[in-house]
Amino acid sequence: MLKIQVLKAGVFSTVQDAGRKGMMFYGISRSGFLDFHSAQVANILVGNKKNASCIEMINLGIQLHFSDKATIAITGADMSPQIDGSDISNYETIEISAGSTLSFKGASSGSVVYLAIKGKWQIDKVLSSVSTYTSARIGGLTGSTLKKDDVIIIKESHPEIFMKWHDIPDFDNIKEIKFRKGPEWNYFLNQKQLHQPFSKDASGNRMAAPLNSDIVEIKDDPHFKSKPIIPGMIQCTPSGRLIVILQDGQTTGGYPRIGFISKNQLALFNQLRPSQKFNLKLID
Amino acid sequence: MSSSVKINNRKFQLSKFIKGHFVLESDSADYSLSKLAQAIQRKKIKGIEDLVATREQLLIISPLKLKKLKKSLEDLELSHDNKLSWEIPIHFFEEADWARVAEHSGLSRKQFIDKFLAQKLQVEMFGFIPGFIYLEGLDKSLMVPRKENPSLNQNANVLAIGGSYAGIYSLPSSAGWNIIGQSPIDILSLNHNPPLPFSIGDDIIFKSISSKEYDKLKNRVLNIKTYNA
Repeated sequence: MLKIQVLKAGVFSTVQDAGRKGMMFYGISRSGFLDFHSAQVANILVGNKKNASCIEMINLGIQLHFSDKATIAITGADMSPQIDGSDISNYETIEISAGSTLSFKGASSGSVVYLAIKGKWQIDKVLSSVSTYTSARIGGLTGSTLKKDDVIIIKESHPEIFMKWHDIPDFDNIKEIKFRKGPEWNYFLNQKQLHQPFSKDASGNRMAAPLNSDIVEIKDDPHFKSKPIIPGMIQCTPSGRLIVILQDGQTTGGYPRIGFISKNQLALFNQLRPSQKFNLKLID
Repeated sequence: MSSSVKINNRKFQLSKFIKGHFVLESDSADYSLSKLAQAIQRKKIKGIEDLVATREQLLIISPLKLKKLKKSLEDLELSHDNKLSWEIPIHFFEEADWARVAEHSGLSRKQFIDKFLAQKLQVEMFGFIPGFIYLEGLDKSLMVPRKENPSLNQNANVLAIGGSYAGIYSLPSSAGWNIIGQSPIDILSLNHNPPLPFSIGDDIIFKSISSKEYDKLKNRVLNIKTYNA
């Protein structure tokens, strides 16, 4: 039995899987991986099911102590991972010996890291998922971000596997995010205003990512009623600011839904760093 | 892509919204899409993954083709639900938003509570955040506009007024509604499916309790079902 103890908490490190379905009617979001693609690669590299639990770290990594030997893989952002002070690589299967400490620093390329650890994680599902959803205080170990002294227990599984992933994304090179017209696209008054650089505001979290840009012109509609929203939806506030709804977002919202970012593009969007400039590209 | 759908002799418009997502709209403005969503939710129809109901739109998340989904919806046999009545004990604590309530309704705390307790409200909708409950039927004299800047509500099971609605914040969150009281009874049970005991259309009656009674009930660790049993 492998015990993984948190020595230092990061900024926002949580246990995630593919999320929970069927509960949006009660206002309970799906949650799950911010970048499902990177998470699935991490799981494949250790031989777990592709939607198995991972530790997701945003912007700053954590420090973990391993009680026993383990097989791990790290994907997504570059947080300069080290085992006992020696650098290790992202995107390959790595064997850790008993008693080692795995540590991460701040992200230098991309924003979100996934750590997959081979075996069966002993975490109870809540409403069919282990995904941490802090708004409802469910999922993970305690319904919150990982804290110092939290312990994740993993039961071993076989056989061993070693792989290297070659198709490594370059998050620094994301220049545009593709989107489609949303249901209230016609509220957007001046399409030319899309041709300006956008960036994510540092205030974003797993619920929503407000964007920074010059203010866009939006139709004033005081009678607009709340509508269903899902991750990837681009809303525009009455003051002309765009907000992208993310995995832990509300299920309904009172702002016009001018655009929608598909699941694949949203995974890339979530890897953008707060200062990183990008364009929004309309596709049909 | 859009298609007309007939469910229980009622006409709806079903349209594909984006891949795997459909929107159902009713021809009549007074029809409760939440009630329909609840019926679909309870039937656990294969291929319907998630439902989000608002007053004007019902979002259906489903990998089905439009035609197939249309057929699944038209095959729905909607039974007439028995309407239940629930009592929720509330402590109308003094530190609540009574200043705002007085400013907009012209009623003192005691006047407001007396009028409020005489009301029978109905569950209209769930959501936007986990376990939030919209209650309709609020008398005009009790309406208080939402706050322009939401404040942080650190308590669970909180009763609030937002415009023409009363509502319950089942969990702590940022709150734009005017808080008037708190129940010692947990309303949301996240280890259960369904996590909320109420059905759309159920009656809710509030009972005023003192802070002493609040503490007593709190210590008994009841949920809303056992309290009403």
